[in-house]
Amino acid sequence: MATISETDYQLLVRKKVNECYDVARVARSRGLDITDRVEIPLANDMADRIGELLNLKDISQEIRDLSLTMSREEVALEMAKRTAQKYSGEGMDKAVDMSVRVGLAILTEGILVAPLEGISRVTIGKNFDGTDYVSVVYAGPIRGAGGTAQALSVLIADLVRRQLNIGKFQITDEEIERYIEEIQSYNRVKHLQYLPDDQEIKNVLKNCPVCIDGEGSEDEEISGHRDMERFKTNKIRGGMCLVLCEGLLQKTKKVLKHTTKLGINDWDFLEKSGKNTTDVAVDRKATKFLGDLVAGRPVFGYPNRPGGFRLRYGRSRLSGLAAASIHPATMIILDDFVATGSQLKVELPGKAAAMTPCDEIEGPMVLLDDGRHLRIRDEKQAKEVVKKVVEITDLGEILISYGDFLENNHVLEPSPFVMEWWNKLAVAANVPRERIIVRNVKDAIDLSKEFHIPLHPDYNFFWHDLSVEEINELGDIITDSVKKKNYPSISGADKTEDILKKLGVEYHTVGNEIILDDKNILRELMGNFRHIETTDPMECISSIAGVTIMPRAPVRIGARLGRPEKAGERKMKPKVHSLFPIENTGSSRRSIMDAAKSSHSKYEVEVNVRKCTNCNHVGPEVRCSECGSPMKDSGTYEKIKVDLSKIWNSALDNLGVSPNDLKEFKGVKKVMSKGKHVEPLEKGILRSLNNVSVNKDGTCRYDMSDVPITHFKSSEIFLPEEKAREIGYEPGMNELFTQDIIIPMDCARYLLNVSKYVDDLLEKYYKMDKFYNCRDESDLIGHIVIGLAPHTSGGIAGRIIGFSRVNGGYAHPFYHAAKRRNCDGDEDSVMLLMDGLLNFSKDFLPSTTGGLMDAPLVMTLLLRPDEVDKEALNVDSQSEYPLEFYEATLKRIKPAEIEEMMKPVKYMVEKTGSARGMDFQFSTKDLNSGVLLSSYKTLETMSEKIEKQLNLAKIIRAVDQDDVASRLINSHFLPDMFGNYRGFFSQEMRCTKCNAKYRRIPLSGKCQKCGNDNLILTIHRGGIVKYMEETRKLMKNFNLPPAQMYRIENIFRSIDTSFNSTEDIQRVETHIENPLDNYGEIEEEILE
Amino acid sequence: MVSGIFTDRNKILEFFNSRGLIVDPAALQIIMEKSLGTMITHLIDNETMKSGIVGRQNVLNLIGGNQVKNPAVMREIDVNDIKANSSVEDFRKMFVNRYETLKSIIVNAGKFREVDSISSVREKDSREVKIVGMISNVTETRNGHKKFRIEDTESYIDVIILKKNPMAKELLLNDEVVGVIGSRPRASNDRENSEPVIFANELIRPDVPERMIDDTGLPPEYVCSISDIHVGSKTFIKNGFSSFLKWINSSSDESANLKHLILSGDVVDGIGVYPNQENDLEIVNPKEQYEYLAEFVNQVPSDINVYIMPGNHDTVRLAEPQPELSPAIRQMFTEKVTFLPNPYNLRIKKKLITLYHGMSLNDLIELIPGGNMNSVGKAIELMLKRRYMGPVYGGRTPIIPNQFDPHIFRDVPDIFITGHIHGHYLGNYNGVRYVNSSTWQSQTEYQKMMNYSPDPCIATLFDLNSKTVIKKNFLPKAFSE
Repeated sequence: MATISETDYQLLVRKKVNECYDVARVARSRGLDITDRVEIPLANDMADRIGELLNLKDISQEIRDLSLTMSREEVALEMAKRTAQKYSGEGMDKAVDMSVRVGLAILTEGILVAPLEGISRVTIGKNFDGTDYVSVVYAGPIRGAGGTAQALSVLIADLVRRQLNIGKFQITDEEIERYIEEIQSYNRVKHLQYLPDDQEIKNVLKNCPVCIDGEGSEDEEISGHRDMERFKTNKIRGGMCLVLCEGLLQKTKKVLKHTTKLGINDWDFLEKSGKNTTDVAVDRKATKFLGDLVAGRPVFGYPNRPGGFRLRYGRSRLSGLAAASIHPATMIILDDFVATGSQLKVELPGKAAAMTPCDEIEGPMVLLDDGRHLRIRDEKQAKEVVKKVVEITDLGEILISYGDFLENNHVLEPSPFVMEWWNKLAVAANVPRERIIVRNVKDAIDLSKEFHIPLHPDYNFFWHDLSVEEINELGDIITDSVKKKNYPSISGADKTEDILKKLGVEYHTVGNEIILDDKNILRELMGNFRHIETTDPMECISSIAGVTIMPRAPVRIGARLGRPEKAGERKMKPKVHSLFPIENTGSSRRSIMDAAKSSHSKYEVEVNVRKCTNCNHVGPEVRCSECGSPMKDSGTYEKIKVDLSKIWNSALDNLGVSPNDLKEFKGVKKVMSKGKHVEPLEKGILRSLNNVSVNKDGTCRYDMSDVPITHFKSSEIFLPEEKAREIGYEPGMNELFTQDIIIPMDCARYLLNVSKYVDDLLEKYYKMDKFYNCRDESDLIGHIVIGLAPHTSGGIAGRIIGFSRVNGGYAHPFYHAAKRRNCDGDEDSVMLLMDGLLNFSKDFLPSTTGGLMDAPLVMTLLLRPDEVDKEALNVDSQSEYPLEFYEATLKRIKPAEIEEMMKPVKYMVEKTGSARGMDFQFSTKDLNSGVLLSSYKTLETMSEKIEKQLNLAKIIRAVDQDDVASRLINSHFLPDMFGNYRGFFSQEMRCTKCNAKYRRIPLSGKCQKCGNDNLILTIHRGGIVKYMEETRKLMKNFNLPPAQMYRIENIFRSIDTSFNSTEDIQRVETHIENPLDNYGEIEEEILE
Repeated sequence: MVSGIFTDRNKILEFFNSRGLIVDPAALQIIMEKSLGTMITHLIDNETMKSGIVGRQNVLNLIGGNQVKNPAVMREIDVNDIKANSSVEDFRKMFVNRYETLKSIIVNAGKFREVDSISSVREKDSREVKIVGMISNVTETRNGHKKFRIEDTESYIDVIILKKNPMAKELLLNDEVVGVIGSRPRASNDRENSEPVIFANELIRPDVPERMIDDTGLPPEYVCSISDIHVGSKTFIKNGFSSFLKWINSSSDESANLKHLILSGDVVDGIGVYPNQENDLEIVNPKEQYEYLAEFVNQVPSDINVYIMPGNHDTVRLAEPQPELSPAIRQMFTEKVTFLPNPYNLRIKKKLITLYHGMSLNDLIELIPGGNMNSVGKAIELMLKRRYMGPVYGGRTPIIPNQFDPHIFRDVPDIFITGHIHGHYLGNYNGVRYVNSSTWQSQTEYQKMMNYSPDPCIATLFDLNSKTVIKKNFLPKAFSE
């Protein structure tokens, strides 16, 4: 291969990154920013990142040295102890605090903010017998650390406590009760992955030597056990609940592994708790994806129900790392609801998976309104028939890799009898090469008989979905038809059609006749028909056919649409160009232009105070708006008078920009950071000119769903031949380098604007040369971005190599893993490197908890495969699975048992330190095939979405439509009606003039702020009625369970008898909002 | 000409409405039938002005007509007619009615001969001001003083209680009506535009005047109170309820003197009260739940008057006031059963028994510092002291906004009965005997989670002729360890 070596590739990336840093350092040193240095330090490895993150640079080398001989977890424990030693002079609490943070940072690879913000503080408290104890106060962002790191952080605190001779925590019975109530309350509000029973909680609390405390993180308060002496807050402590339940109790084994090794037996109590004793009920998990059914997101199949997605093992070049592939035609037949990058909630092996197209697996089978029953073989055909579909009898295959079963530790489900398997059997049975290509059913049968191998998969049907009676019945019909020389025409009855649909046989109808389009398979298999005495349909058909026939679809996987795919520029709400505070002077549109022109252009606002080094002018600017001299940071903030129009004019002058060039220019109301630092107005002006908006940290971001790719064709990513060579690739199919990314076209358009903004900034503000000089999107190829995920604060360098039409970011599984993401519906962002280096400052970040999240506090230059989230190491690397694999699946063994044989990429990394040389089993013509935009996003109203959702429920054979309707009512309509009903009677009132809100209407009926006497309702009756209408529709069209009918009648009665029926109802066009649509990530995780 | 006005239904209503009175439909019926004409002006008297409604009895008194058969079940107002409109004004009228009613109670109690209007108080400083208003925005100042806003129908002013004043420790609820005696100092010069404040010296609540329960010396006549039977639930204690009925039918002295039986809400478990309730139900169909209840209740001897009131589990609307159970349900029961709305003032033998299912108790308990489900006694006294049994607005108890709020204790009850909480709590506040009646349901999953143990299967007997109160426990042995 002519592709460059990995070393050369890394040199290329390093060179590009260094170029950016060199330019940015010069620019930032000109004193035109709030700080004079580039604020994103480069890290070469994990140890560097941790040093930068915690601002403890001296520990990096220690971590590196220890890592040579120890596992990451051992390094964490050891470093924690050393840290405690180091800080023991600065007070016990400080020592424990620092060591827990160091340990946690190592456990989370230096990427998460959990070590900074997940631990609010560590305190030394007093037991009631007067002894001391250590209390770790956790906060919300600890969630990101994951169960294992959470659990081990408690262990670390214990180790350090021992080292410093601090006593054990002793809990009182009343305090235990508080914890129990609190954990149950939390589970109601946020849902815990693992909810321990009272006994387990008691056991842990009584024995845990460290006090697990937390910040009151939820709005809800506990109702019993309030105002406790040692736990001041009455709010639910989310961090505590997570660490105790999803940490300690869910990861008991991990903790015990270490305590055993360390010879500490204080933690043996865990042997009686948590996941050690209770194996999570398996069947509960199977239906979980249905439990949280969402309005407008269709169900595609019930658990293991005929007609649903058929499991097929393997990895396509676009799958792995929790992404699975389906046929592009299936995406279309499902009314475009599934697009590339859409998340599917699945029954197994994990909870969810992102979808990618693969046209080398089987597509769906449908019944059309003209009586045709056929398999859809390509996109074109799917588009032709989709409007005529009256039933989807089979969704086709879903391709899931062995690696995903391994990662989820899910037993291997029996493999269908597929070509790959048959081929291996044929080779093993010494079938001559030229006969392996089977031309027709006769050949297939002869071959099976001669070599004693099962029937070729191309001639197989879903025999296991029929009963023996049905097989016999069909046999009679076929025999009859053959005798009468009518074949392939058989006399049709509804029952017969039903059997053919279940079996997956293609046919069409002419009058009352059914004409089989089965390539004579049924005739050849059932020609010698005799009734067989057996209860096993597979045995039955094998006997009839005289050859072994293997199950074609032993496992179907239930699924529903989860989060739809996403790709879009990040906009704060409302959209903002500049981090400049204008209070209320810019009208409700926050327009800086309006504010600068208005009579209020001098206003008081809390800002970081800077003083002019020349004329003593005071203001938030970095360059004096009076005399142009540098302004010096006084280190404090105050409410001072700002003269916006002066700053505005000086900025325009400085840039040589006319105010008429700007269409809109928006600022923020106030600055939220600790020091209240204000961004130079010039930056915002240039952003506005280039039509890009700013994120809270000063950068421009583009967000997208994560999708994996390991191999690409240069043509499908719009990579021209000469460009390809320039960046180290060949025309045609290439294995992707781990830090290369393929961005959506829309992202490219946005980044092109950002590049122009950056160039303007360099030229007009810093008075330097342009850097990017991009004329069109293709000039972005080869440039570096920072990839950064929410909840994390460590970015990784990525290189743009091409573009796709999908709404998602295609990148190497290792790249996603380096951001601590997988592809089960996660999303994250990119920013142009130069934008980050010039514009990011820690001083812009909000001072609230979680403010450091999603900020590039450090960037990793080169991806080290041994330092990424280990999930990526389980991705398949082979071009085929061995015969033994398929046979092993029949035994439902744990995937880890055959790991060595399956050689996931872990084995390559261990051997060569590199992920180069991966292979795949299935390709696809074009990574842009299938559906590119889910209809969930194109349909405008929720009513339309629900209508389509129910229509799919009706036509998909694997879905129980009545159950879907019932769940929809339970999860949406009933709670909405109840909520709105109660809400109506306890609603706030609002002033139409000044927007003041009143918990209760003032007795005078007048606004107490502005005197206006027009106060209005905030919750309208129209909202309640709307839900009643939707519910009535469902009641009419579906069979609902009696208990639900009573429930509905009950709430209807309550509503009907509470409101004046003669009143004209104000029609409020209500949209049933999915909270998930607007927020994504965090809320979605809570639902898990 | 004058008489013409009063033959038109709407005109009659308008006439009374303009004077702040509501007309009971039954009363309107009689007025229309008897063509009372100008006579109806006589209906505006002290009694109707105080209650805010023109009831059927008022009309009958006027025309000297027939006495109603059972005055105990005279409807003050047909609750079915109280309906919500999409009107801010309805909300306001509800609070104004509450304010005016409670204000008149405070003023009539004596301390306030004259009340200053808040707008006059705002205008100038004064050594002593006396105002009555509705509270909101209770907070603590930076220096630990208590601060709240108080409103009358025209204006508002902020009130401060200094922390050294013992009143500062008292629980102040939003929307309660209090009288304030205090001073309104001159606004200090440096803060010319600042809001005026009152420094309160004294707070006066409507409260219940202290009084004795009279002992007539007559033989006992018992009113028996039970609540929250939850028929239909898997946790309904059938045995306990059966043995209660067996006792009622027995010839013991107590049961022989029992003349009235009150079921104060949640008589069945209903359906759809909380998610997945069907899993906790033995009988899913609410109609069948009532049929089953009727089987029990119809065993009560015919000389006992039975009163059934709905609660939040019953199949009437959730919002209060709740109307009596529907005719379809009522016809399952024998004639001795009387159906009441919730809340209700039941008058038996000149005694006022105020009944309220008690949904708002949950809201109130949470507002009591350190309060839990065992603080129900405190919550009930808190209601009596404020002469209001409803919740703080904005909580979890929906109330239909209307001009006549039945949650006000317009008259001081002799006995106040609630349920809902499932605990049994008996008390006496200034001579008002009260009970939170026991349930007939064992501990539910929800209560287990909330760490609350109910006291099921207790019947409470109040003697109308003396201060005797008797607790009878019917909890089967199996439950009582």
